[in-house]
Amino acid sequence: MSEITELIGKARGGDPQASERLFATLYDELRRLAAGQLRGDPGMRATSLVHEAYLKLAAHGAIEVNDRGHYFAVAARIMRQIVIDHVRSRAALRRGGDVHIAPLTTTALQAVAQDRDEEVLALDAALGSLAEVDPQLAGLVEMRFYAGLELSEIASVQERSERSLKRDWRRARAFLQRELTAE
Amino acid sequence: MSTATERWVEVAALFDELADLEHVVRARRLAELEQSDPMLAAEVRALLLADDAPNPLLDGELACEVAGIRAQDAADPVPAGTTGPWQLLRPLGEGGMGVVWLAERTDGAYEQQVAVKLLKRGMDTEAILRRFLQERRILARLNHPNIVRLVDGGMSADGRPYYVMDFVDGQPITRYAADHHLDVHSRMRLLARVADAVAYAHAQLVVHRDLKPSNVLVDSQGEPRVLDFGIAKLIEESGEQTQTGTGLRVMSPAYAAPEQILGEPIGTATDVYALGLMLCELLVGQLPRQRRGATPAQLALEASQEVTDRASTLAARMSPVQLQDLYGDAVEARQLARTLSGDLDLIVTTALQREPSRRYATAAAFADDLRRWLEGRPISARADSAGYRLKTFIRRHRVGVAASVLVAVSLLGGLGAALWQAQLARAEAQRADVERGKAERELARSERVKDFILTLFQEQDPISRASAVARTPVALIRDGIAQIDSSLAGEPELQAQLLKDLGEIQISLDDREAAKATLKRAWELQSNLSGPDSIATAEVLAAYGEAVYAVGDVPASATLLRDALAKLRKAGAGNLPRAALAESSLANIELVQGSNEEAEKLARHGVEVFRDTYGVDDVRVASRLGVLGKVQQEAGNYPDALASYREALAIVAKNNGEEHVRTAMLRTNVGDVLRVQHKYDEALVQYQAALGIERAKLPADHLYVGGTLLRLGDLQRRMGNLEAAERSFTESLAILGKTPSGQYAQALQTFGGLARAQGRFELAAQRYRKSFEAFKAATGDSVYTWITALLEVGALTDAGKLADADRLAAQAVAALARVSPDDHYNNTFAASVIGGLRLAESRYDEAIPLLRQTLAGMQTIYDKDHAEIAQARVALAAALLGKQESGLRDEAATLIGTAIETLTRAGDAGSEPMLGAAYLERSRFHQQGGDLAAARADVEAAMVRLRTPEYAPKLRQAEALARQLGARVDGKA
Repeated sequence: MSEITELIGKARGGDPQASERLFATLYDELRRLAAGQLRGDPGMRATSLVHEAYLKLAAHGAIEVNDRGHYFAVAARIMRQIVIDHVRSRAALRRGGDVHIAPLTTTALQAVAQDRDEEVLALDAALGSLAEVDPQLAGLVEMRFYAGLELSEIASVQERSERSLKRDWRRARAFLQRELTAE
Repeated sequence: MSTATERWVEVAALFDELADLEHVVRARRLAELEQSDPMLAAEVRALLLADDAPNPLLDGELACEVAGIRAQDAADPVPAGTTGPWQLLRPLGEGGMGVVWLAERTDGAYEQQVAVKLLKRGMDTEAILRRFLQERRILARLNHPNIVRLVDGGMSADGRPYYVMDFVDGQPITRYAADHHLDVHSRMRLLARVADAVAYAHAQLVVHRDLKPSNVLVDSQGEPRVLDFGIAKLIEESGEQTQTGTGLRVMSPAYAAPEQILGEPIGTATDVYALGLMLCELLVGQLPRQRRGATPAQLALEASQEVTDRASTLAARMSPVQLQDLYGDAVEARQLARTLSGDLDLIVTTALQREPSRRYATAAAFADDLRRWLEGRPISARADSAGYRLKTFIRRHRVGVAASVLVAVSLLGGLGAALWQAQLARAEAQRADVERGKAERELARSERVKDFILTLFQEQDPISRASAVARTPVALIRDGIAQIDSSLAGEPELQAQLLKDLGEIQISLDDREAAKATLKRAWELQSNLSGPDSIATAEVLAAYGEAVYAVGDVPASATLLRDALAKLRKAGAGNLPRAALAESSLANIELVQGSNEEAEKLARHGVEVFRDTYGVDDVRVASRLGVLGKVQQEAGNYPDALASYREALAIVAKNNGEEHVRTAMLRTNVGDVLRVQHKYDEALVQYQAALGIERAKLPADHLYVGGTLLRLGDLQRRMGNLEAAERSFTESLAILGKTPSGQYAQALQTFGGLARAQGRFELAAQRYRKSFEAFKAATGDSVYTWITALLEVGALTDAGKLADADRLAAQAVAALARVSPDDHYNNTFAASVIGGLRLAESRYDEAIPLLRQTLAGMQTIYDKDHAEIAQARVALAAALLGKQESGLRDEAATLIGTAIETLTRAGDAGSEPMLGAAYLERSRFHQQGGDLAAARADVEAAMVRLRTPEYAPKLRQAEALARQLGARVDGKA
């Protein structure tokens, strides 16, 4: 885990290999936590996975405070991947027995637990379209929907005002909604 | 930019603009757009439609998915049944917002009875739900035994919003108190617990906004539970667009605070007001004022001129029947009035002030005064105004800035200073009447400073700014500075003072460039206000000087600090703690610039000022002693440095205990001094003690542990215990390596030195390489990075890997010329390393000028008897002899002679192998002159002395020469 800060630095500098390794490292940690969540691990209530992972990494000194913005962006992307992977391999999960979700976790994971696979996949596709015209907006949706961050939290890690994020969210939401309902 | 992206930018801008417009205006704008660009209009319209449509996934499942409650119209109050998870059992009551039902889960997930509050029809369900989804995590965070938990929320099948909370089987607090005939003390205790719960919620940045007896239920165990936290806000704010007027529609005007009726900002003080009302009602069974207005306008008029009756007055007027109802038989009106008059009246009055800022700042403060009254201690509301307000200020901070403790502490420090100055000013005023006006102005000013800072933190209140929870301290202070400009435009004196306080906080937050800019403005402002030579200006100037130091401009900082100190002294303020702090900063600069005596004088004065101001045993004195010790240590004044550190150690141990982490840090300082004094055994004791404390108090992989292990390893290396050193280094590196830092790189470098001392040159080269990489990561293309590369060149040279050494040397020299062209020490060091390499390569023509440069450089750096100079002489002599030209031999002989003389005089163990190297060269000199007997004697003297691993290459040269000369090698002829 000690390499994470370094990887974040390199990734931010545009090193594609570092980005990939960062993604892979965080992916494992988050998937582990998400698995716990989907099992209904009571210890996971109310704290979002991404925060949990962040705190773990930070406790190990693997992440410096000023890396938070980049960390959350990457983590949100990863959560999106985890959710989609999860939906696609549902059969395996079903064999595992009851799916029980602790309340008040990320919206995306709740949707997955409610078997709303088609909606989740459709949203993912719509998000892809959004990323084509406005990647920053798509990133915001990832952070909010997949990583479960509140706007106020995103405002803090991105050092932006909540007011402007609210406006962005509203616009992103309208875009996605239009994509989802457009025939 | 692709055309799709361009199009989106255009659509997005229009969407943002139109989304906030009222429907009529929006329609008009769309119609206009239709005329000019129908395609664009269609896209924007589609987006706006999408904006209005619910999206179950994006908005969260509660909005639509959790199957609702099949509740009926008011005309048909009993629901026919439910399909969702909550089955309504029976109505519990009806309030301003809607009907409350007892319900239970139908899906068997768990057995639980809950209360479901079904909001009235006509409320904007969509907006409330969205709001609920935004807020629910915050509300769910409220986890307190006296707060009723929020469980769920959603929309009923017939489209009404509902929310679900734990069911409490209890009575409203006033009813409970009356039914149980509680006495005054029990009522106070009960309400104090309610206030605790409210204070807890405030600390979570949630304000209730609708506290009243029916929202505080007491169960059969006498446990009070507060309902509906945050709900009022949720509904009010959702109503913004659909409702005009005030948020009163959801709350009972009788319990509303004036600011709620008048539409002013709402905060924690709003709940304090409600608690005050509840206290009054609990004690005398009625509210201290009546609101009769039927329209918002009438209510507003009443609220703005509100006068409340004293609780004791109301008590005196109570009829026996009323008293009987409230307290049972035990109490008489006159007796009750007497109990309530005085402090209790004052508590109620303070909580019910018309201006929120004049009330208790927090529910915690209110609870505190209730308990003070119960325990018969003086209540805070009675304390003198300044002290009282400072306390409320502190409490407000606890609430508002839970997220930024550091800022709060720093601000309080700054505020403390402001108040302290005010007190000074007051004391002066007592001495001289002329000064009185000034002192009063000063006092007024410090009050205004407080008010400003309070508003800064009020911004942290959830009501006015929910996002503020997450603001970083840096952002908070920057915002504050921006506010100074806008909100205090006409008050330059306040601006100057606040800019100074906030700028100093920026320094401590490491927001350095911003601190510099802030303090520069503060200085300019203050200079205009009170003149360039005033004490106030000089203090700001000192702070500015420190900010300039923080950004690394040492010479400019020195000028500013000296100027500031001169002005402070001239004005007779040279003994203020602020001056002492500036002296500490200046001492560090003087030290860097080589003025050791001046540095020590400054640091010593700082200690004296702090002793006089705070007392000899105050921990703040220990900090000054630490600075003094460092100055003395750097200046080479070791006995005094030890004394300073030890005194600091004693103070910290006395205040914080022998095992406090700060004592560990001071012990390492003591150990460092002992080490340079070559008192290795004593140093070892200190390092080991420090390590013991750090291991006990800190995580095993804390950087301090790594740092102390590094010192210990270096000491063990010096003591010749190379195995122990190796262990300490290895452990230290494992810790330090977790965070790439200069310290880690430094440790690797020392570790390389250890390998070199062991004669393991290739290993040394590898460790230097790692150190080089670590420096590069931590410091970039810096002097440290390339000096380390030179160390690697030296190790490679000793390892005989001359080609590798050569390549790296070329890089390092070029890099150093780039990053630090004029650094004398670096250039000398580079010349000595490259000169040594050329010597090993037998490229004498190149070695000679480099080694001449080395010798000349060393002579300016070290005093004439230093071993480095002797070594430089020997190296140059070796290169000269390498040429084998008779004209150069005499110079070589002189160099060797001087070196041997110096090293012999030093006579310590460390000089022996250097002396061996000198004898080796003198042997060559004699060999070239044909005096073989002398050559043999010298080479034998050399071999004896070169038997340390680090000198193995020299030893091999000596042995080769001995064989040529037929001298004895390893005791053999």
